[in-house]
Amino acid sequence: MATGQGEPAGSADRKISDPLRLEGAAGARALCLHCRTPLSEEGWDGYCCGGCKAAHRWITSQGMEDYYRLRDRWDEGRWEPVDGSLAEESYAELDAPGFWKEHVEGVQGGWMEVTLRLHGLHCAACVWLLERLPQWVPGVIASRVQMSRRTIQLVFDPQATSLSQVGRQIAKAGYRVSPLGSAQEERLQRQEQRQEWMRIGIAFACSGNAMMLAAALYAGSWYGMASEHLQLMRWASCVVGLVALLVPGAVFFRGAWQAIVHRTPHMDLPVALGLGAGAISGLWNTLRGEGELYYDSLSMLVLLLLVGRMIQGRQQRAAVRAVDLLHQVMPRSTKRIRDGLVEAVAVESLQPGDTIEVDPGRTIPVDGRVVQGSSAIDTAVLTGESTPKPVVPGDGVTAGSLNLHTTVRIEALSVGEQTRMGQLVRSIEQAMRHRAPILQWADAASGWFVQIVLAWAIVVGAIWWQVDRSVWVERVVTVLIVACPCALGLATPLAVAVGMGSAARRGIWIRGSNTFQLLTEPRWLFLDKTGTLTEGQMRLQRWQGSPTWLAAAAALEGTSLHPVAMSIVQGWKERSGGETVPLATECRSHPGQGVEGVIEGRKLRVGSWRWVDPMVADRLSLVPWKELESRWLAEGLSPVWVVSGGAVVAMGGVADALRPEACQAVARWKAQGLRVGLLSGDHPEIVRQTAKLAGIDPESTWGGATPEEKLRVIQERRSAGQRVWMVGDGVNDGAALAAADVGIAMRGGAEISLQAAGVYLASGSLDGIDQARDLAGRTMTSIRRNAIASLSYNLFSISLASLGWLHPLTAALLMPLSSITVILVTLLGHWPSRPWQQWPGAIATSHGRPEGGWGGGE
Amino acid sequence: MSVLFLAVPIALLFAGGAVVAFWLAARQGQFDDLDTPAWRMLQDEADRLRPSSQPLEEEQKSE
Repeated sequence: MATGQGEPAGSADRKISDPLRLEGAAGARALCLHCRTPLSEEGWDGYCCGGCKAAHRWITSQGMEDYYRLRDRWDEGRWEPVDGSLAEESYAELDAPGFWKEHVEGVQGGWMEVTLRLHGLHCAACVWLLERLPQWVPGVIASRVQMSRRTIQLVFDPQATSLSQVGRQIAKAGYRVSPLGSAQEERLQRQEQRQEWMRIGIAFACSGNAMMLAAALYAGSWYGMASEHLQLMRWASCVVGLVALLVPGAVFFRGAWQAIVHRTPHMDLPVALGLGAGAISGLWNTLRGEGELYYDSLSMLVLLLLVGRMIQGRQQRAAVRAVDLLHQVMPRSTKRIRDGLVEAVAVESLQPGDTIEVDPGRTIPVDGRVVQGSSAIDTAVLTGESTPKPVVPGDGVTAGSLNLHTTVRIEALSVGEQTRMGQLVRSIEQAMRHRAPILQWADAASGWFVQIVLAWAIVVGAIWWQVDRSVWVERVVTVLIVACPCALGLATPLAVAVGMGSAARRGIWIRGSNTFQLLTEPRWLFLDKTGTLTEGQMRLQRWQGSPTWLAAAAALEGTSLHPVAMSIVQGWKERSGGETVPLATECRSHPGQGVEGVIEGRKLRVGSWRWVDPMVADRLSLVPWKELESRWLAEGLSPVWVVSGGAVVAMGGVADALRPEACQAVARWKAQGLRVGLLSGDHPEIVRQTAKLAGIDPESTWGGATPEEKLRVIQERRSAGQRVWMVGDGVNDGAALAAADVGIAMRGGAEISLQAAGVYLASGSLDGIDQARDLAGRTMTSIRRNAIASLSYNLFSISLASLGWLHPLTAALLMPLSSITVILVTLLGHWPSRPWQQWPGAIATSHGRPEGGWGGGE
Repeated sequence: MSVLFLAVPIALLFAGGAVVAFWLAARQGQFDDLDTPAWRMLQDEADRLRPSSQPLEEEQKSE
C-alpha cells in the first residue's frame, strides 16, 4: 500500500462501514481523504498511505473531484468491501478468442462493443467515475453504466487498447469487471423485459381509451344518445378492447393453454376464461347492436395484471442481481507453471496434474497437493473453521481455501466440478431441486374455483334452458363474467409484490412467493456460527501487559495475513492514538505457530504456546500467565503469547466476537417459542462456548459439523415434519440453506449460500430475521384477506347472476370495483404507518456494522 | 354531431401513434434501466461521452 506510483486500487479495500468515526480507545479520529480509513499514522498529510495520496491527487488532477462530492452525498456508509487482491488480476480471459466470439461485437469505425458485469458499484459517484472512462483510459471511446443491472457497456478501439488492459485500469479505480454469465441469456432476458414494457404500454393506451369511450356510453345511456353515435362508440370500444385482449392479453391465453396442456390449473386459466367470456359476449353484443360491452373493465384488468406481474418480476430479478454482486468464491485466473515458466491462465483451462502457483491472499482454485513452499490456509469458506491450517509440501489443500502466508506451488489433483467445492455446489443444486413445490393457497383455490364455476355455468344454462330459452345465453355469460376471479387473480401477486417491495426497502430480499408462507410458520431456527452469530472476524478482545508490547507485537504481525495477526494489528490501531509501531527486523513467520523478529535489539516471539515455549527460561513466573490462559480459554478466547528475554511479557486474547444483537435476538426467538440451534463447522469447543455466550442450549448445538452433517441435521428435522429455517453465510452452509424450508443468507456471505437461500438479509443484522417474519405475516394476512373478500364477492354475485337478478351492466361495474377494492386494501395493509424506526434492527442497520466487521479493513 | 365520425377515429389514430412511439422507445432499450438516469442528471458536465484520443495524463506518474 505504501507505493506511490499508480497504485490507487489497493486503497479501495480499506473502506470501512462507519464513515464518520471509529469507536475505540482513542475515540473519533481523522479519516483518510480518499478512502476514509481512520488515520493511524502521521506523515501522509491527510492520507492513510501513499497509494491513497496518489489516487486522490490523480483523481483531482483529472478534474474529477466531483467523485468525492457525489460519494459523500449518496454513500450513507454503504461501502461494500472490495477485494484488493483482485486489482492484480491479469484479466487475460477478456482477450481470449472464445470470449470475443460470444461477447464482443463490431460497431462502426472498426470499434468494438462489449458489455461486462461490474462489481463493486455503490452509488452515483461510481457511475460518474466509470462513465468518464474515455477520459482516463486511452482507446475507450464510450462507457455507459447500468446501475440496476450492474453492467458496463464499453465501446473501444481494439487498435489502441486491449480489453484486459481496460479491465486492469478499471480495477485500479477499485472496481472489477467479469464476463456476463452468458451473452445469449442476457440478451434474451433483456428482450423479455422490453416486451413486458411494450405489452404494458399497449394495455395502458387501450384501457385509457376504452375508459373514455365507456364514459361516453354511460353518459349516453343516462341522457340518451343518437343511435348512430351509440353504434360508433360501441364499435370503437370493441376495437380498442379487442386490441388490448389480443395483443398484450395474449400472455394470459397462452398461460391458460399451458395450464390445460400440463393439467396444472393456475391463475391464468380463470383469468383467460373470464377475459374470453367477456370478449365473446362483448363482440356478440357489438355485432347485434345491443347489450352490454365489457371492454373497459377487461382492458383495465389486463393492464393491472401485467403491472402486478412486472413489479413481481423486477423484485425477483433485483434479488438475483444482489446475489450476483457478491464476490465469487473461486478465483477467475491463476498462475500455471509449465516448463519452468509461469503463465496466467483462466481457471477453467487447468487440468489435473498441472502445477500452479498461489500467492498469499489469493484463493486456491483446485484440490491438490502442496509441492513447494509452506504456508497456512484459511478453509473457513468450506468448513467454517475459524483457525487457519498450516500446510507443508505433501499436504492436501482444497479449492476455495485462502492462502495466507507465503507463495506455494500446488499440484492439481482434481479441478472444476471434481473438486470438493464443485461437489458441494452440485449437492446444493440437488437440494434446491428436491425442495417440494408448495402450491400457493390462492393458486390452488382458484384451480378449484374455475372447475366449480364451469360446472355451475352448465347447471345454470340447463336450468334457464328449461325456464326461458330466450335469456339462457345471457345468463350463462353473466355468470362467467362475474365469476371472473380478477380480484382473486390480482390479490396474491399484488400482495406478494407489495410485500417484496417493502422488504427490499429494508434490505431484505425475498425470492419466490412461497417463501412468505414458509416464513410464517417456523419451528426450528438453525444458525451458523462464523459470520452469522459472530462477526466473522478475529478481534483482539483482551490485552494483558504493557501497551509497548502490543506495539511490538503489531509491528511483527504487520507482515502477515493471518487472521490472528490482523486482529493484533487492528487491536493496536484501536487502542493507540495513531502512534507508529517500532521498526521490526529479521521478521520470520512460521505458519500455524507464530512470528519472530527483532525490535530495538530485543528478540521477540509472538504466537501460540507451542511456539513460544522453548524461549521461556523463567518457568516460575509462568504460573499467573498459565492461570490467565485457562481463564481466557474458558471464556472462548484464544491466547496469543508474547515472549521476550526469556520471559512472558504480555498475552492477548483474540476471539471472533458475537454480533452485538445476537444475545437479545436469541432470547427473543426463544421467548417466541422457536427452538434455536447452532450448526457450525468450527472446533466443537469453540462452538460450545459461543452457544453458551449466546444463550443457545448445548443439546441443540452441533460443532465440527461438515456440510453433509449440517444437511443431515436439517433433513432429520424436516422429515419429522418440522419447519426448519437455516441462517448462514458460507459455502459450507449452502446445502443446508437449500434443504431448509427457508434458507436465510447474511450479508457478506459467499455467493453460493446466497443462491441457495430464499431470503437474503442485506442489512447483515440478525434483527432482519424478525423484520422478515413480521413482513411475511402481514403479507400472508393480506393474501388471505384479499382472497376471502374476492371469493365472497364472486359467490355473492354468481348467486345473483344465476337467479337472473343481476343486470349485465351492474356486472360490468362490479368487476373493476372489486379489483380496485383489493388493490386499496393491499396497499393500505402495507401503508408505512407502522414506525419501523422502533425496530431494534432498524437502529443497528442505520449505524452499519461495527467497524472491522467487514473483512475488508485491516 | 357528425363530426364525431371523424373525431373518434382520429383520436384512436393519435392513441395508435402514441403506442407506436412507446413501442419504438421500448425496443431501443430506453426502459432497460430505470435507476441510473435519475442519478446521471445530477452530474454537471455535458462532455460525458467525449471520446479521448490522448494518452494518459502525466499526473499519474508525478507522485
